Amino acid sequence: MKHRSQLSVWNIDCRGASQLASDSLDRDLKPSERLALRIHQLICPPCRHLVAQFQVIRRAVASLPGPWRRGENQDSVELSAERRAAIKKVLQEARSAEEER
Amino acid sequence: MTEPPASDADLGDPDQWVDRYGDALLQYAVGRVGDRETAEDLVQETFLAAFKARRDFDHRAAFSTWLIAILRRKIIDHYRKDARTLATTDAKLDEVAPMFDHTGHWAVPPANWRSTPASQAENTEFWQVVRRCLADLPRHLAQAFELRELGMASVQEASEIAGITPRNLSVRLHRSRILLRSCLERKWFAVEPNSDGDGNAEVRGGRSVTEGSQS
Repeated sequence: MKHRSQLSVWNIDCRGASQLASDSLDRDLKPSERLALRIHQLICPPCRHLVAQFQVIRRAVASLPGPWRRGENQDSVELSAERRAAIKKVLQEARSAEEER
Repeated sequence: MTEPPASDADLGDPDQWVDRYGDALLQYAVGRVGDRETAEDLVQETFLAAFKARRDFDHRAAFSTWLIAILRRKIIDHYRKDARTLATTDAKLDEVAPMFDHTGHWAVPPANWRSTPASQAENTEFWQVVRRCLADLPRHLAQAFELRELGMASVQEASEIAGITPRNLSVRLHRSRILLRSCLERKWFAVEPNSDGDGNAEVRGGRSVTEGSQS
């Protein structure tokens, strides 16, 4: 049974290959998966293109400007003055509500 | 090294929390939720929750770490609420099925993207296209993609936040990437029709936008 599932891994279709290509962006592929993907890519130009496209997309998204990149970018994110004031007000209210009790 | 439970004086004035930790919390939230407004709401809820629970803070971790832990909980709750409104499950709906034929081969083979945006102006246009394509994705797929690629969350963290297993997340990421690349190919990388269908279709020029031109 194990034997068979290993064999089927070697014989993946484009859908399976694209899943592995996607997975490779999130985790290290198992050696058998890596091999299967590589073999598939040898015979399948569209899937070669796909892998390259995934890289283009990842790089493009990583270079998105501040508001798009969201998070660990060079421009720091700051609370607006209004929001800062609003939060302080909420905290004040919570405090006086506590004191009344 | 355990210290006595915090008294109010130890933690200072809650007003100062906002000044001291507000931006860092926002930075964290903005990297993990859909928009800034939501992120600010979550930061506000976090401070309020922290104030109410301030006597539970036990000094074993830094105060900022404690705040982040609360915020993280708020973010997870936010996504859980969101997830309940997403009626379809991954098993019921296979968004990328139309991309493949019944033998699992490409219905429309991915092309060779020859040019990537070079100039700043092109970049700006490209970003707009990326944004539109992301907006076109089903919400739960866009969420997975954004958590992982925009928010730079680890797989573990992204699946926790989305309330799904890592395996499920990998399915969603796969689907989101496939749909996104297809959208970009249509809207940014205009494909040269290649009649022999050997999958070597080439793409030229970055700028032309050929929405819905693919048959």
